[in-house]
Order: sequence, then structure tokens, then C-alpha cells
Amino acid sequence: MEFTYRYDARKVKQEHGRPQFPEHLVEMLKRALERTGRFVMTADGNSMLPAIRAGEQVIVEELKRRPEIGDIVLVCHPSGLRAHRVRYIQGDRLITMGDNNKLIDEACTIQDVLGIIRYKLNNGQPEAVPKPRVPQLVSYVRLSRPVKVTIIGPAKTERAQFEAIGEQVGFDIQFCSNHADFYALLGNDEYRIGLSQQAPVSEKDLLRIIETRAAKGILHFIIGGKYGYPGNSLGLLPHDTVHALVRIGPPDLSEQPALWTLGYLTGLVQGCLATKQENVVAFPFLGSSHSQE
Amino acid sequence: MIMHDIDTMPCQDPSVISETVGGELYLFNPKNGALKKTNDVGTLIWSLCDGKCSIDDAVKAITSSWNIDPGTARNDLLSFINQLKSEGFVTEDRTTEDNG
Repeated sequence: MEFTYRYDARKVKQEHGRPQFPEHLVEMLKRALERTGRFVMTADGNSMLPAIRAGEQVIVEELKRRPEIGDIVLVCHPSGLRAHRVRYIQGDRLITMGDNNKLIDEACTIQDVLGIIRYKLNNGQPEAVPKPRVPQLVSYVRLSRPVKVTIIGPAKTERAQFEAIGEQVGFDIQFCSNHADFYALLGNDEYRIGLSQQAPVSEKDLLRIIETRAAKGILHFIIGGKYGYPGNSLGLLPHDTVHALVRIGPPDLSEQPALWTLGYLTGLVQGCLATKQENVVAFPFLGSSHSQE
Repeated sequence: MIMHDIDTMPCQDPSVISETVGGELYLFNPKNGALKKTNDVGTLIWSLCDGKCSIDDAVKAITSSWNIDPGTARNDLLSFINQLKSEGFVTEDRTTEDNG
């Protein structure tokens, strides 16, 4: 005669037919906090290494103040419970991230936070959870180095979107619609990189170019150009207009709209220049800007 | 601590959070994070964990509801109580009865 069966979160999800953590279990945790102000739970997974190892027991306490950046909070998320560190706060919106993770978690709100984790159990005795130095998470890092981006041929109605991105990240965005205008926008002391999905050079080499060239002068990216060979008569830009012609994104990706290309380029440049030079990690979709200066 | 008579059911630990959902009882022990889900037999036994009910009466309650011989029911009951004790869901300490 069996009285119990082992609780298995995955089984519970299957029983409920959707990837959602059972609400009654969350309610039990809330009641535990109301009754005793704390409860113990066992960590699952390695996302919080080195602060918390899988299998370690942590103490979840009632949070009596607003979460702060650096707190480890237990969040009730549609896919389950997660205990990750608060890395970004905007109003009631939180971004958490496992110390050992490369990606941030899906955004949640302060109302989703069940409790805070400050201690773990070591041989039954509470000890403070280490707080490692983690890079500051920001939405954008405004670059101190000049980066020009020329976009060839966008509709006038689209220009505001390009300019808004440029304003946030510090790109000097310029537009042109014909060859004469294009040549007028080229400077002498700049390293020009044309972005085209037809290019032989891959994104990996672009990162190397950015790293090596960024310190030496102006980087000038050109989006939307169609390149031909020297002397062609098809109205294409000669390929020697640029110092490097690079494709970005996944292999075999077809030509993408200029807005996509600018967004992707933003991520590359942010990751390459900003993150490596400052103790920050930029996630451009967070929604507000942060100045590097 | 008052040692409990082995012939009597233990007490529910007052800190344990219980919730019945769909006829199944969930138990959560905030002190150690233990989470247990029981079936209807386990739910009955949990309800009898009051520090007063005798083991004999608990066996009778089980055998009157389920077709099982008393010897097997007793062994399984004691085994289940040991599980509950080991995970801190029940206590032999009667002084904790009224704390929750």
C-alpha cells in the first residue's frame, strides 16, 4: 500500500497540461512565509554557481522591502520557481539573471517575487550566500568612440526609427539615396565596413575588425549598399568603396531589411566595445539608456 | 521533549502547510523544504496525526475503508509514520500541538 508518491515538477506540469507551476503549491509557499516568515528549499540546477550549488538548501525569507539590484529573489514564473539575482529594476519591472547564466530571464514584476534568499544552510547552520561582483546590467551603453552608420535608401517614414536607435546607443546615423550623396558622406580618417549578406567575410571577422579598428579612429558602417566589382556599370557601389565587406547573422541568411541589420549591428558593437571596456553587460531591449561617460 | 507512546499517532508539526487539491493532500515543511503529495489513504492518516488517536484505531480506520489485512495495514502505517517523522511533518513532541 503506497501512501505517497514523489513530487515531480515535470509530472505535475504534464498533469496540468501546460507548462505552468501549480498555483496551489505557490499558495502553500506564500502561506509558509505568512506563518513563519521563512522556509527552506533545495536549489535545483547550477544557474547560481558559484554562490549556490545544486542540492544546497537555501532559506527563503519574506521580503519586507522593495527588491534591490544584487538581491537573490525567489520568483514565481509561469515556467516554475526560479531563484536568481536581481540585475535590473525599472519601476515595478525586474530583470533577474542566474549568476552562471549567459542570458537574462524573462522580465517579471515585483508582485511575482515570493521572497529573498540571503542565507543557505551549511551542515544545518545558516551562512550568508556569497555575493560575487557581477557586471552592471544596462539597457544601452552609449559609446564614447565615434561610430558612423550610413543607411542607403530608407523610406523617409522609417528614418525616425533609425535615428531613435542611433540616439540611444551613440551611433551617428546618416542617410542617403543616391551615389553623389553617398560619396559626400565618406570621411578620410575612417574605416568603412559595408554590411551585405553577399559578403565573403563573416561576423567573426567583423568582431576582430571592430576590436582592432575601434581604438584607431572612426568606424563607419554602411547598410543597404549593393556592391559590384570595379568598373561595373550596373549602378552598384564598387566594392573598394569600403575597407571590408561583411555579412552578419546566421550563415546563409538572405539580405535583411536595414532596420534588422542596424539592430543586429547594435548588439554586436555593444557586445564588442561596451562590454569589453566597461564592467557592464548591455541588453539593448531593456528599454532605457545608460551613459558610459 | 515529551516522549510519545509508540501506540499513539504522532502530532502534525504546526509549521507544516497542508493543502488538499483534487482529493490529494500536499504537505510542505518550511523547516526543511520537504514536499509530499499523498493519496487518499495518506490523507486519512494525516488527519489522524493528532497525538491522541491510537495506532490500533488508525489501523481500524484504514481497514474499514480499504480492503487490506490489519497486519499489512499496521506495517504500512508505521512505515508511513516513519517517513513523515524523518521529513519533519509529524512530531512526538506534544508541546508543539498548540503553537500553530
